Amino acid sequence: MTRNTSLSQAARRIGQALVVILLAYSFTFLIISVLPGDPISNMLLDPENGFTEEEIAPIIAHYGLDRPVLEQWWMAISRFALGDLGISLRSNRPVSSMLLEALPSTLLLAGSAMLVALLLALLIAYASQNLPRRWGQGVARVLPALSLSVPSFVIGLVLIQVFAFQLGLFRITQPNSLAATFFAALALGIPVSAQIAEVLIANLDHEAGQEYFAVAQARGLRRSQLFLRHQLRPSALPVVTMIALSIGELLGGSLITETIFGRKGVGSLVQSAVVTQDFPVLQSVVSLAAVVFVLVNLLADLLYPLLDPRLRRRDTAARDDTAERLA
Amino acid sequence: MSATTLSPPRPLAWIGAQPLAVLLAFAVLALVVSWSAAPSLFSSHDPFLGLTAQKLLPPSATNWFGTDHLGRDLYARVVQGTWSSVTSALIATLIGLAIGGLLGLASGFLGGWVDTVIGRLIDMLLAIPNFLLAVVIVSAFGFQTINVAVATGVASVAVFARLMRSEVMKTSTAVFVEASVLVGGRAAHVLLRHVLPNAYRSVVALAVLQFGTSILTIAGLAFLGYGDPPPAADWGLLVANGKDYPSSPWLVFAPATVIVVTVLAINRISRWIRHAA
Amino acid sequence: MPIDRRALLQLLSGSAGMLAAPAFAQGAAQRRAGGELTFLISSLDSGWGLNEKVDTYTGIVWGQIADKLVHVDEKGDATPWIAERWEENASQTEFILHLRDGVTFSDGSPLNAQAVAANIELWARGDTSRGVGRLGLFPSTTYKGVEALDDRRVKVSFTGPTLSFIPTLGYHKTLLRSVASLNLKAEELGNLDKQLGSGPFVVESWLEGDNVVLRRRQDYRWGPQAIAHSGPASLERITFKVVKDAAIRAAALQSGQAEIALNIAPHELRPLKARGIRVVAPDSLGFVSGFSVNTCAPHFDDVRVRQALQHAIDRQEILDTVFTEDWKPVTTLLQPNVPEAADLSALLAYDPAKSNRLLDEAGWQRGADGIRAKGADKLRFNLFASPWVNTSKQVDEVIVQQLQKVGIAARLQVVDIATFNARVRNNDSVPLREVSRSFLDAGVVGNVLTDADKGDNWFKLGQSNETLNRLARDIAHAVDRRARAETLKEAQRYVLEQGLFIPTAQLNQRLYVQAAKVKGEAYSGAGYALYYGAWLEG
Repeated sequence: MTRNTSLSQAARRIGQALVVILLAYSFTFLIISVLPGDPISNMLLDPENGFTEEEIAPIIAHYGLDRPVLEQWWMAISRFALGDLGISLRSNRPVSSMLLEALPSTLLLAGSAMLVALLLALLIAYASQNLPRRWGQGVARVLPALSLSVPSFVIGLVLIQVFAFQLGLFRITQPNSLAATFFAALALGIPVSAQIAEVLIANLDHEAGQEYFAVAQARGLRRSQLFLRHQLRPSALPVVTMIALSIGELLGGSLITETIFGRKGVGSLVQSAVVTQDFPVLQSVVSLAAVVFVLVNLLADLLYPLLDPRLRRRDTAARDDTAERLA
Repeated sequence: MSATTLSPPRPLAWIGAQPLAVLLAFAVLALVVSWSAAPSLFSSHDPFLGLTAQKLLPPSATNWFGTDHLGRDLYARVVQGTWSSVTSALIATLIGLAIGGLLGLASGFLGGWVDTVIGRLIDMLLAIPNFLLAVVIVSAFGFQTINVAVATGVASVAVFARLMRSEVMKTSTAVFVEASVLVGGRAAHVLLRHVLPNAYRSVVALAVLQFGTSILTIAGLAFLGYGDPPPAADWGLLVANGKDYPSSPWLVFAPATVIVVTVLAINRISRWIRHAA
Repeated sequence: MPIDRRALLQLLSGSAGMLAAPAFAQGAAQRRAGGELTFLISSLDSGWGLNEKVDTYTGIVWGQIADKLVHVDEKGDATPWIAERWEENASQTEFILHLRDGVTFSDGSPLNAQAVAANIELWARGDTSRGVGRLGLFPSTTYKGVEALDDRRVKVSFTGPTLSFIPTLGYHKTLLRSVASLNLKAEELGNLDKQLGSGPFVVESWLEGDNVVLRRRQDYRWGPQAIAHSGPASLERITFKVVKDAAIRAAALQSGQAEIALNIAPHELRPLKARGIRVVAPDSLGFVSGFSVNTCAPHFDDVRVRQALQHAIDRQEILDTVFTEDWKPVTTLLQPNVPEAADLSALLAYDPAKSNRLLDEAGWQRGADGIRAKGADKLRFNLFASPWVNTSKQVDEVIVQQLQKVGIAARLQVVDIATFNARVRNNDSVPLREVSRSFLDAGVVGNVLTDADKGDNWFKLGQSNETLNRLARDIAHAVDRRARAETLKEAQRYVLEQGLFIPTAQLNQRLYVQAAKVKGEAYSGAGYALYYGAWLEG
């Protein structure tokens, strides 16, 4: 590969990423414009106040919420293109500073959840190959399906009931302490671990069926060596793909986890933005999620050739390939 | 599948040859189907009208799953909610399957600029977290089971499309398909004869997974307070409403167990389909 | 009443010294300074802006940071706070507020007449150029202007009699903020660091929508006269922390991770009480929970249908099913503690036989499905639960069951605020609208009966009903509370008899569930807590 072509390829990827982000922004705008009402009238038309529609009209006009949808979209997107995220209709504060406040906590949570998910998935996958066949492997293979069929908030509620309120390991008023973060990460990570484990088990089974595996087995390699070298390493590629695909899931799941564990973050920001129809915040968060997703997938693409030399020349086909093993 | 349909002579023997877990899974599925077909056969209690004096009773011989805050029999409500839970899950799955499948097929089979445009659209859908997408859609169109089903379906379009695309690309570059094109097979013929039959298996397996996802999404949305029109008795809603009554834990655990058992049974069956095929 | 309340009030306020309240009241001997309080709150989503940005949750936080001109107790009586006394003319059109000396905002700037005038002007008119609306409850329709006579005297003028002005000054949104805070740029209005009050606590740290940590202000010495405490607050620190899920708030309280939790579902209160946790449901002034009936809706122009509804509802069953003994039975459309509330329980008696008779007379015959009909026209409608009241859904579920028994089919709809405004607000096919409205002065009642003077026109009768027109006019033009009370009682009787308002239960929008060691807190007439005098035992 010459320097030139890789440069132009990078430019193409970045171009594509920008298109995706602008699309996500507009798509959110489109859906939100279907919502009845707007945050200002929602707030003012509380029966407690006894306002009439005429009375609040000038306030709504001040925020430009009485303009045609297309015009509002154009104003929003041209501001967005210049990097201005606007001002929250709810809190009267710049969206950018609200995002900056919320981001670190969510990144920490999502990162730890991913770590937890990976470890759990590895554990389950290892068990599925190496435990006694009849019951051990069976249990290991049912676990992912089981944790995928429990509502995630039930997991969260059970964790917080047992570890915070019964055992007193962490306090709900200090959601950023080490223990609180760990259990929140566990609640968020369990469903994700199930997906990774599913893919991993499918791939491990596949590798175990290969001829070279039988050969290695016959050579008398130790079980752990066999697992690491001949099963896990070749399966790394689809796992990386799954991780990249689960980023969105982690951000979506943080909505529920952050609500339960009382953490301030992007998820709880979205939650209140949806409730109050705070468009600028909602659009910015969706675009941010898109940015993160694009970045992670870019990173995954860069990782592929390192993980599998056969892929040095191929592009994203391999990525798609693994989605199938999900099923 | 073909293996099973080709062994008709001794059905009893065939059943005996299946693992116990698979038989159990089929039994669960049969029960769920009968619950949704004829709920009144399975419970004598009125799922919608309760005696308020008998509210929040723990499970007993008369009320198998206990009673809720209005004194309604929870078991009757679970049975009653089966039909709507199952249909909404089906709708969600069909939307994802139909739209995602078509997009993926067009993208993979036609290639070129079609692939580029669809690719970006799919990227966009993937980039918006599923659950977030569902929340936005439901709050835009109102909370009704049908809207939740649509939201879950739309949110899963991207995954189906990706999967279909990669399946199509894989099979259309396979030797026998290339050969078929070389000997002058028409596009539609190639598609129907070679590409789809090869792609359907993994797509169907994914579709089966969507069933559980849909129920759980409904539960998750209800948890976040996206209303619910009582007296609906969807399983997900029952779980989400139950968590408001921590001193009556059966309100969560009874319907949650029903969900878990159903989803597990369906997973087991989907695995069995893949292995049997 | 032997003594005219207003005369007594003026007497009290005239003699108001800073320490008028007896210092030995309520356990002064065991009072302990210091200690930290953790308060779990349902939401802090509305931000920290002006006027209507203060909601039922942030209002509780604001009550500790900012002072008010007067304190209004649960009987609607105003007592001195920053205004140490006030004068009013006979026609109730001019008020002169005399301010306490030496009060400062937390940045040291004086809380003087100019600052008060700036606050009042903003409540009355808002500032559209910064997107700030006026304050809903403020009597803006008759407001003429405000003037600082000197450093400590403010004159407020109205075009007509405005009995509600003084009580309104104790509302949770009429908070005194520094002039600099009032004049912040639009995008700075929500910055709590720059929103300054003169209250007993100052903001130590905060995180948008998540928490606020307050620290006591050492030089505070101008608390409300009604609170038996002086000098700085006893509590060292108060932490408000958002926990959205009510069940988790309850569990956290139970395990001792917090001292106070707001609004726990009624059915979870009993187990908490068994563990020695106290439930405080402060009386709050306003309308009870219930429905205003839209007479333009199909079938509801018939008074017999409305009356049938009135008697088909078993309010005791609602109390027993949804609530606890902390809820008092309703006797009229006003909360039990409103001084003008009448006891009209007889008009609200559960009498399904009477309902059935009324419906029969009105020509509604029971069909095969048990639902009444006139020909093809069935007696059914959509019932929308209020998105502003937590317990609304549960109450409405019970009501749907009860109406079913007399052959009325109500279909419950649960929607969010936006959908509610879009589908219910101006929709004449919806017969029942759930009311959740608090006030500090019962004069508001006159404002909802008709559409005269921008009235709320609850029953959609416009000005077609002579009785309501007369009642509304008399209430609006009253200059004397006692005379007005008689008119208000007549209005309550008429509205209930006509089935124009269907009360359901007492409205307790703020329920404080707290550890027994919390002592000495006070509540305003709208049920907002004041922790200035609070302390922790042991």
